[in-house]
Amino acid sequence: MSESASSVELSNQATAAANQLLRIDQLTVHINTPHGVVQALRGIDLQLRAGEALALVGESGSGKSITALSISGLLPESAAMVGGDIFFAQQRVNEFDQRAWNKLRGSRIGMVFQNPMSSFNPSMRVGDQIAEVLRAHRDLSKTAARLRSVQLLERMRIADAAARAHQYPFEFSGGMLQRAMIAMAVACEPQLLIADEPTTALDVTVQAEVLDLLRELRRDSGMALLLITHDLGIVAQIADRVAVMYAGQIIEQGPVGALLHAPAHPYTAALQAAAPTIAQDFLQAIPGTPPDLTNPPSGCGFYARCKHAMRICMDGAVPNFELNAQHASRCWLLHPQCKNSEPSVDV
Amino acid sequence: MWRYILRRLLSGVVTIWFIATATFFAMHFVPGDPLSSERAMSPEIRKNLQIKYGLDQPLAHQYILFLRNMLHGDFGISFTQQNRRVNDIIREHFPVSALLGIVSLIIATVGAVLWGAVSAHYRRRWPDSAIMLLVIVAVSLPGFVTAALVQWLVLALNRQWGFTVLPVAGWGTWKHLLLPAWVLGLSTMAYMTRLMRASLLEVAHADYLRTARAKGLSAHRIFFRHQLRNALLPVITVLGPAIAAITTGGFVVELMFAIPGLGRYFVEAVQQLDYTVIMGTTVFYGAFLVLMVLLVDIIYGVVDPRIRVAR
Repeated sequence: MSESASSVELSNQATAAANQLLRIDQLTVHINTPHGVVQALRGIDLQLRAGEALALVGESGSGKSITALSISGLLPESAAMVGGDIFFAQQRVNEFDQRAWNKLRGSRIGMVFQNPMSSFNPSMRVGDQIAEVLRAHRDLSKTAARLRSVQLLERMRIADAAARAHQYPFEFSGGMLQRAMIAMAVACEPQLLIADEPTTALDVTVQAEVLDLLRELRRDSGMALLLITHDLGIVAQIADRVAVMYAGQIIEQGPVGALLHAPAHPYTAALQAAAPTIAQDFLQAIPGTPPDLTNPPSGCGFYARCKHAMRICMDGAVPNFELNAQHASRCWLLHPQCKNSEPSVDV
Repeated sequence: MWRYILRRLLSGVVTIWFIATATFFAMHFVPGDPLSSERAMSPEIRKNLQIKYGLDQPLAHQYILFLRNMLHGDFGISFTQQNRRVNDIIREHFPVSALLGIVSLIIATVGAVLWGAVSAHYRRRWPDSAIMLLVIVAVSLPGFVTAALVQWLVLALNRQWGFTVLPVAGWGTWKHLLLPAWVLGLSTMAYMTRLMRASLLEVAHADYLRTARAKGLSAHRIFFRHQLRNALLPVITVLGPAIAAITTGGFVVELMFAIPGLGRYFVEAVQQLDYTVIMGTTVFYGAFLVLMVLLVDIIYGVVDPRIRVAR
């Protein structure tokens, strides 16, 4: 009896492991700059299950993009992974060489970047740029790849796709180009799509189209999505889970509903309050600036800007407190001995 | 596209007219004329010759006569070479200059792409520093100095090895072409190398190169299809001035290497104030350069689709 129960548990663990697409343990990345070494990522833990949509939220410089670039092995020359591990589909990617990366990128990991206008090669036809990724990873003839790229553009609801495939990037509008970019990223049906601020450069109506498309693709193909954004509105629309980054750390992580309605970390709450709404007459900014990451504080990074700051916040790393199995946050307010444990109310 | 070319050609005609007029008057303001030489000449003979060549007419009249003949494509007969028409001089000697120029341009362009790529690849390491130092030397040396140095070196080499590795002067075989073409293209190659390096490094940081890497393409394909092709655009822009530099540089190199090209005749004509040859070669070179610059602009459109459509 007990034997069978433990075997069930084992098989549950096995499926959990099989379902796990991406695991990041204690990822630490440093960037060399003329002003010193920037500690861009200071021990990131992140997991992503197959088919799941995770939003990585935070302000500029918090380390969102560096996290994405680490996952795809595209860190700039000045940056280096100095600690931690990244596993993609149970493979440790830390020591991947160019060949191994090239098998993964474009094929099993697709990427969409912020600025579609500058992310396409200006002197190559859009269709050829999509066909190129298919030719690199699939055994397709030139004609077959070209045909497939037209189908992909159609799939992205680009009107007159055959003619469009023959055009150059500068003949496209921004929104159309971003949809073409998505076509390129999902051409080889990746297990993970990393979208780094995919709608930031677009105007609002076009943003909605692109988000619809991402949602639809996810529903149809079951690929996982790592969405990097600073727009909480987008997060609410598309993500299953959210991880909030601040000063190179993940300071809160949880299901989208819980995190947006009952944020545990004062920074998350402040971020939400800072999001503009129609009813507001003025923008509510978070006072202060993020800490200098060439010389990060030993305690909580948000200490200097936090309304609830206590003396303990300055003393060493803040532990990750679990509110429940899914929701966790690095804030001393969650310590059982802390009376004032409702930071979200009065921000 | 055709309208664009037509418009460029029309403005080219105006340019050539301007060159011709400026040269015509500048030439006539230089003291002396084609008939003044060391040889003593009696005033009567001189007078007769002036009448024969129309040099006794007022300058304005000579100018109009010249323009009318030029429109008919006739540049007249040389003053210093007996019974040779200027058109024949151009026809016989320009192909030599053109061959020299083309080979030299090819050496310069291919060399610049190669060295620029090596330099960019080893950025701030010793191969880069070495190439950039050579670039400065090559840009600074005038053509006649390089020519003399290379001739001296190759002569020494020929003597050392006891046979002619490469001839240092003359014309006839492909071997005769190598040294002058290399010397002629050297400074062009040098500054194009520098441009190529800067352009490759700039493109290296472009967003679309990150996209290319994110697509998992081979390093080979990323370099040639995405980086090099876009980095070539600024280099193509300077092809026009480069052709001009090689054309005018050819005058000196042809003299130094005793090559029977048109440039040599041009220099000799200026020294002897051979009016008809000066005018003929100047107008011809002017027209040639106008056409070359137009050709470069058309090539630019082929490589960069944005320009093609914008027209």
